[in-house]
Amino acid sequence: MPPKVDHTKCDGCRAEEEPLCEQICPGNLMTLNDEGKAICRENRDCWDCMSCTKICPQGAIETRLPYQLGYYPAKLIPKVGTNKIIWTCIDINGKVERFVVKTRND
Amino acid sequence: MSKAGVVLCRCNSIIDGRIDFEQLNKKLAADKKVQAVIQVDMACSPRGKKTIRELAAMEEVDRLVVAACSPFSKGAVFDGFALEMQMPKQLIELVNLREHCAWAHEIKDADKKALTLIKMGLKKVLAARDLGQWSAGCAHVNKLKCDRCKRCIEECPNRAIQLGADGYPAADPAICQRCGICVGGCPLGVIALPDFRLEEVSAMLAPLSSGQSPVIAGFFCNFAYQEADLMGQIGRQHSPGLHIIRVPCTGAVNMITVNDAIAEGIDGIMVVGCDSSQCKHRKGNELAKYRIANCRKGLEEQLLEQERLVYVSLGEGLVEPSVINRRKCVRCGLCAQICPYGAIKITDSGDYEVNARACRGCGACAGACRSGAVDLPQASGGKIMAAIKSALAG
Repeated sequence: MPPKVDHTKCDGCRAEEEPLCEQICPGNLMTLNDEGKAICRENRDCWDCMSCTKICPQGAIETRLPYQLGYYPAKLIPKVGTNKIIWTCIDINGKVERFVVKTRND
Repeated sequence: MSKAGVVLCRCNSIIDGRIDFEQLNKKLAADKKVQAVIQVDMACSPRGKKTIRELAAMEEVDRLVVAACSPFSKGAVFDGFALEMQMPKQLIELVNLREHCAWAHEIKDADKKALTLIKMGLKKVLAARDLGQWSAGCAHVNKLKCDRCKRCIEECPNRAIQLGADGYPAADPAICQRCGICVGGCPLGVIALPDFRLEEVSAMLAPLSSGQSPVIAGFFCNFAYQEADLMGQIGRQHSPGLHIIRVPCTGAVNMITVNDAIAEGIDGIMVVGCDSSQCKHRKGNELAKYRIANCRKGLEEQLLEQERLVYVSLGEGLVEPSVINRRKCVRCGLCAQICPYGAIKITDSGDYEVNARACRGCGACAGACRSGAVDLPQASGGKIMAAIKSALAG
């Protein structure tokens, strides 16, 4: 499922040539629209790697979960620290679980 | 592998009267990263220096943690020691046991808090690494990771960061004030100050979670830190769960650090700085508030309480504005040009006037005025001369 961009939060990385999500997307799917906000240009090509969700400094991008994993209220939110990521998993019943995963960015 | 030496300063029995040094010594010696622990009477005295020098000469010790007083009281002395020992000053970490632990807590809480504070210092000093920022002496952008988003160029209050010829931003050491506002704003966290790197700060957060609950990480700007010292000096106590970390300005707190703190299981994060419009770095506190407001929305999305992250401002009161003596003023306009806050304006009659609300009492105008017409009431020429006289007499 494609990334959903909250256009009230997205500032297009201040209208730089390439916003962070565009630089990081391995499929080169993210781009800026005419208003300078990020959009995913080919929704069906996205393979949910969540790179854009993690990199966005404004926290404006949310990756919608595929329905096989969870219906609407279910969410997966990564918050990135220096050498760890906190994953908040919310399932369809609203149950919250948190995982802290170490990364190798030391 | 680098190991650290720990120096415990008794401060003429002021500190060890309230903290059990023997037990602290035993617990620290059990740490694998600690090579040696020594206790000295006065670390800032010549004899203390000799002992520290002996410790630094030990083979495996290449970094030091000095548990003594506030960096604002004797920090310069230890920077001097580092210079004499030809050691980068980033490798000596001063832990504030006196003002923020011995004086600020009950005896029963102080032992545990002291251990946590020293462990925080150890973590910081062991994470210290030179990526080029030590020699640069100003904000340094790690070009390997920078993605050229140019936020730092926009946010720098002094316009010290410019785009270099290679397309990466670089700070000008002559202009950079080391306020760290770029460090706090960098979305990738790749900017470092000579003594402030995000990795070091997040390493400091690890020992906190063992503290007394509720564990609070307090990021105090230099101004607020001095106020906290003052509270310690007059014996006001604060919660033993509050761990004070010094940052150059509240703008230097990156939200990546906040995420780290939440991941470490810290209950709350306090960012303490100046009242709005009182920031010495002009907009550090406003940027911090903006970033915190954004981050709080993120916390709510994660189903965490917003109250876990707060900005606290200390009212500074009004600063006495500088005064222009009309009789001496030659109306050259240098003060209006030099004022960093745009507080001096020319009036219709051709006189220069200080806007008392905008003036923050930095004294740049008083120093620059060639005819000696501008004076700062709180630091007038007479007051400075009197202070020099008393210093020389002592």
